[in-house]
Amino acid sequence: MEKAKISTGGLISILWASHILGTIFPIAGMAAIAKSSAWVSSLIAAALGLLVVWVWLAARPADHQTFMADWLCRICGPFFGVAVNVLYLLFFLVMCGITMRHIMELVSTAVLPKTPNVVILVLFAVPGGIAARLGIEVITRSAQVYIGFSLISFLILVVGISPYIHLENLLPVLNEGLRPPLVGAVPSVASLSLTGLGIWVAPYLDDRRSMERAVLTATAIAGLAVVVLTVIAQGLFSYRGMDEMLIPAISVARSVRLGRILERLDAMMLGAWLLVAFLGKTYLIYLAANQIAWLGRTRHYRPFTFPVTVIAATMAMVLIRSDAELAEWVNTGSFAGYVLAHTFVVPLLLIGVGYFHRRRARTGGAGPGKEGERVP
Amino acid sequence: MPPRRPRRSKEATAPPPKPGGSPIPLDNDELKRIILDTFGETDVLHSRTVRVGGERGLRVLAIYDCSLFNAAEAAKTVFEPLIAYGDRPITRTNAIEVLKERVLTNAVIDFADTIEGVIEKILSGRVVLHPEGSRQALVCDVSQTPMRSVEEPETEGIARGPREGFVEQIEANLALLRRRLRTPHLRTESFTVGKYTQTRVVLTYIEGVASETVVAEARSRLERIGVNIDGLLVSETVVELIEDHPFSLFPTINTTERPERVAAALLEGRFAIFVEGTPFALFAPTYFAEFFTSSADHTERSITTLMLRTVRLLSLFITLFLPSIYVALVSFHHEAIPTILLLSIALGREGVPFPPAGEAFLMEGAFEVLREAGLRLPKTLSNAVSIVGVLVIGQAAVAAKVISPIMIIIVGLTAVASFTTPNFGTANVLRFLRFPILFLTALFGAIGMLISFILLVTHLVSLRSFGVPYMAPLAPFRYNEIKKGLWRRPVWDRGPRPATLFAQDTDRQEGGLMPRPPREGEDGGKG
Repeated sequence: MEKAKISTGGLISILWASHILGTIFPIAGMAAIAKSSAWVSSLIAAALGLLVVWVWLAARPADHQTFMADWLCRICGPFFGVAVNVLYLLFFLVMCGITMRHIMELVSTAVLPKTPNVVILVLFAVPGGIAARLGIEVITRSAQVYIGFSLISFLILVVGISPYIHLENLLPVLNEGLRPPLVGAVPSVASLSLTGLGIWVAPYLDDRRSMERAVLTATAIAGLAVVVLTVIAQGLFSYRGMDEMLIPAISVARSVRLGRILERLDAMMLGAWLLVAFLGKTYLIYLAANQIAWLGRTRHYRPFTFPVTVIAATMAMVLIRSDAELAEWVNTGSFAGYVLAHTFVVPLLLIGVGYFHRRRARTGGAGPGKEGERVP
Repeated sequence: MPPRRPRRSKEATAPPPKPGGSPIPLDNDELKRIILDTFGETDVLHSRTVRVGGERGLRVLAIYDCSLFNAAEAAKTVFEPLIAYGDRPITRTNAIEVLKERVLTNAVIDFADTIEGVIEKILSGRVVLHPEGSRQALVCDVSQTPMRSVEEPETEGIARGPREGFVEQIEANLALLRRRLRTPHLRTESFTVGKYTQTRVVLTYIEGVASETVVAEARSRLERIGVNIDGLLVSETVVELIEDHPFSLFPTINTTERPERVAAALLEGRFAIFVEGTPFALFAPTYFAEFFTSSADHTERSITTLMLRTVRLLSLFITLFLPSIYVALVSFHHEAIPTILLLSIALGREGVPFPPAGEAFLMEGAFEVLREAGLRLPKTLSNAVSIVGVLVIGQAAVAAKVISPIMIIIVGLTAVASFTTPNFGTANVLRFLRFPILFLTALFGAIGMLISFILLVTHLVSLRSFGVPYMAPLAPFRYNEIKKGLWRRPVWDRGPRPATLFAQDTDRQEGGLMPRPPREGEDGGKG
């Protein structure tokens, strides 16, 4: 769609940011279900997350230059292909709307309680629209800048908090069997599978291997972040305290004093958090605008970035009414079902249909269209 | 007269007549009339006819601008040899060849084939010689323009290192550069820019090192300017006409007064542009981080340079965000300030009628006014203005409870930090950027600051300098180039040229240059 080139490191940075939802709510849900085995649950989530992303990658076309929207049409046929693409467009818009809502709630409760929600929404939506309009290169480069800040904040957090961690809070392990940690891991697996969205921009990478490396590395890093955060939060507050947290990273940061320089480290953590959430949202705006451009068969996605931003902002106001409602949605399971339907079930179907096509082609029947073919 | 394509002079050979130019008439008087008609009423244009080859010899017309040429040099290398040629044979057909090869002693002889070419040469201070009956004219370089001597650069002073800086004359600047790069691969391509100023612009690069694509792009951008503008007086005009992002606040072409800095840039695979009449050379492609490096960095040890550059980056952060951080903390998020500090700030602000944001705008604005006044005044007066501004007004404002003492500290720190940016243009941009950041912070606290930061980063990462990402090597992230560029590794460990510059020859130096004393059994020790 656009003339751009991105690096593996750049893609890893965006994908990590896209996974930001994965560290917001599922950890609290994990603690509620798995109790003291929450950290085991996080380990399971990290491993299963990699597995789900691997299925994503297996569903990709062999030629990395083929856009995912084209590939969906090639596999599913013209009618169902367009339908699946519309489905993904809605998925991107919903995820973007949720991220925007989360940013708005976070800012209005923690920083600007007297500012109207719409103002906060617009404040973050406009730069997101601008960045998405400037293209994937700008988004990846921004990600590389912000990820540095986030990493530094995260390291300060880990180092600052480590003396207060009580390892006995991690015990007992698996006292209720393996089922609770497995069930508790599902929302985290769903959020980790969002890193698979990297295959939408695969044509901008040098080759297929770069894309695979980027997606798997981003999933592994995100999984590691979930594990570290879960261990720290559980070591600090035990699973009972974790259960009540909305955003574990910020709750953890709130308990750190950085000498006598800053009374509360959470301000810095919040800044880094918002930067990364902003990136995730921008990437989703970009993907949604590209989907619309593909569906509308236009030459460029740019005219759609601001309309998409407005739609996502409207969804942010309409879909969910508070962070508590969002947390409930995430932890009751429908979130995992909704996300995994797009990130696991559809790829599995693609693999199955692809296999069916290949078999038909071998037996002399009609196979899928040519590589990169655009279905009218 | 149709616009001419800019000239690219390679060497002094007779080029074919340029398409579109008016041919030189065979008759001397006709040529003289055309030239005089073109110049109109002027006292500086002179002409002289010399008969070469005896009484019945060939008439040679000399035309020159006496305000631009060196009379002694002209007499010695042009007129004396012409007259001294005596009665020896010379004809219309071989006149150009004979004059060039046997008569004239001038070191630089060129040709002109068109009336426009003759006019351009006269305006450059050359003597144009036209032998009767020839369609060509010979051009002898006897130009002399007022020139100041090579002095230490004022805007890029360093404690240790070369003291030479560029001057206004392009030949002198090229000589300063060539003295540092004694290689036949150093290419210089001339362009004439400006319909009326006919300013000489020179593009330089090292062939085999600089990327051909980047150089071709620079060449095409310079050619595009050509005579499509009326005049070119300063190098900044070229910057505005060839840069990638004309609406950006940030410069994407670097400038320097120091010859060794240009030489270093060329050695890295960049190109440089010299403009007649400007003591600044331009070089590109460039990165944002480079505007925070100085020539002094290469005269210090690498670890010292690392510390200096860290100080500059910290100063960049202070310049942009310190007043905003103060406003955000005091107005919106005082719970993040330690209690003792908060009490001290509250005591200082007691009785101050303005909110912190108002104070900040007032003091930052006042500082900018004082700074501008100091720049426009003579040096002796500017010192007085600074002292009056900083000491008297600041102290009076605090005593009158108009401004809190901590705001004076904040503004002072910000001002001092802004002076650490080595590049003058970038320092100006950063100073003024803090006002919109302050405005957004005044409205939305730390979130406003965060939004400003997001917008700033988004803008910076979207910039390119001749195709090279402006925020490299941070974004796209290149660890090796960060080590080399930001940390300035020791010379023996510099590694290859930056990959982001697309240099043709990436090998900068051989490995194994790390100095060490000879080991036991090796030659070189004195025992």
